[in-house]
Amino acid sequence: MYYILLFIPTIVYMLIFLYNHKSPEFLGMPFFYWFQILMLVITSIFYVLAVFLGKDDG
Amino acid sequence: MVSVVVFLLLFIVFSYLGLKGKDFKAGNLDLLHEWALGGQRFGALLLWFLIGADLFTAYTFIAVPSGLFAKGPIFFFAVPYVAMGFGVALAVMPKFFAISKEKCHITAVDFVKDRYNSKALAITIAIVGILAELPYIALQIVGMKVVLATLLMQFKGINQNFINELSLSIAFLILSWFTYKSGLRGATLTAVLKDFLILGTVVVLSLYIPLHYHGFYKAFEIKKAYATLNPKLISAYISLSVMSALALFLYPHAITGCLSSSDVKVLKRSIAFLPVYGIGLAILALFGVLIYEVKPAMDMLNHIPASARGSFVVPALIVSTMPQWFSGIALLGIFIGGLVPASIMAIASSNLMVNILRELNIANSSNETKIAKWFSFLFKLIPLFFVFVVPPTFAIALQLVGGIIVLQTLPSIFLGLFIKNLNKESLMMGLLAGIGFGVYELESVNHFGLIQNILMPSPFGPIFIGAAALGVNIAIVALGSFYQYIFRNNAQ
Repeated sequence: MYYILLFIPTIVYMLIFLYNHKSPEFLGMPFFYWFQILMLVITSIFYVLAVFLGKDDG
Repeated sequence: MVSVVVFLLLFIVFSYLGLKGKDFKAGNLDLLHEWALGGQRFGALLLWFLIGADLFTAYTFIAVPSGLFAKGPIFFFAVPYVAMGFGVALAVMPKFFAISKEKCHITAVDFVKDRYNSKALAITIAIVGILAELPYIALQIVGMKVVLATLLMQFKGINQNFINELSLSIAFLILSWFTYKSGLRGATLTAVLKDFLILGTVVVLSLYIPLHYHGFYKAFEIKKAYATLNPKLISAYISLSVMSALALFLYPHAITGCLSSSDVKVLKRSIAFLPVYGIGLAILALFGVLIYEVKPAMDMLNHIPASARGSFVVPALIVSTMPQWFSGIALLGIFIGGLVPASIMAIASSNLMVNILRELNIANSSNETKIAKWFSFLFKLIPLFFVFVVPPTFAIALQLVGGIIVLQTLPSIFLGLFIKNLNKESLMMGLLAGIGFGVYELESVNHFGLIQNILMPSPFGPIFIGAAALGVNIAIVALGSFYQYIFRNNAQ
């Protein structure tokens, strides 16, 4: 569970075709850019979930 | 003039904090782990600053915006790199931390020596770690020179190069002096100051400039090709971000930062929140495109030769749109944004040097702290020679060269945490082959000249050289360890 939660954001980032588009734009920023910025926040949420919910052996 | 005065005043505050650091959570600074790891007493918030400080360096302020300015969206790979990098850290570091704490390790080299019981492998890993830090420190120096050059531009008719070199030397002397005196404590306290200045600068700039110029519309109008990633470069984008993420916590200074934590829980919590820090990095990166719509900044850039132009993106945006006093604060933030990480990296490298000397029976517990302190001085000087290998616009190549090198320690450090049966001879061969391959490819794609290109052709399209080198390395380690495993089983 711990490792799965950690891995999900990386998979999303690797699927570039999902976000390699110009629109919808935000303040003139193409989707390609602002989606990846938004993903930083989502990534942190996944990591926090992993740390508080998941168990690892460390 | 005002900007220079503000800059100098703040630099005095910075030096004072650095020196005062020795009294912070005080300990006996003649002991190596007290000097180098701050006595392992750092809590979540301080750790967040210390590890996060590695994120806001000249890499973020100078190298990445410069890459976007010159080449476009491919260099936005730094954003997924940050996100993935902390995931790698969360997967690997808790385990590493637990083992290191139990056995009192200070560096990854202590771990390698203990795990594989091999002096040769431990020494090689230490040398590789130091080699990888040098170009990264060089990148910080490039950033500091750009800031000084920007500050000095307003004075006509003086010998700018000379004053630039002179001020840089003075700054380095002061830094070396307080690194020597207060160790990681000094670096951490100044990292807090640096982060406040820098976060303030990033927030103000990223609200003011895009709003003042009504968003990014015009910039992406001028640079239409920068709107999306060229599909041919997808392989490069993925390999650059994934490999940089894997490399992030192999760097000796990142490991030092983690080991200075007071316990595993604290470490994990502070890392989990760090991707949010990357938003600042992303916005700074976008300044590399935004600048095309800011005319006064572009006028400034046009006076700078193309080989260095990109590196001036963020400083030029600051001085051409902001009042003088704010420019002073912001430029100082960027300046110590190079200086503090350089210090943290130098401390980490000198710890490794102690590792090597201890293996060779030169260092022992009576003189090791002194040796580490002197080497931390030396490792700030050597990188000065690396500064000229890369044109400033492609300063990011310095960090990526460090990445190619440091990635080769991945099998010994990360894989060794999870897999028991790795064999030390194969690890050594893989490491050397990976570095040999990486350096050869790097030289050949750049035709043995100045380093600008860090991609090589592959069946999937262009990829980061570090990915291929790591592939070679892991293949050798896997084959060698598997062979030994079978052989041993048959012999029994």
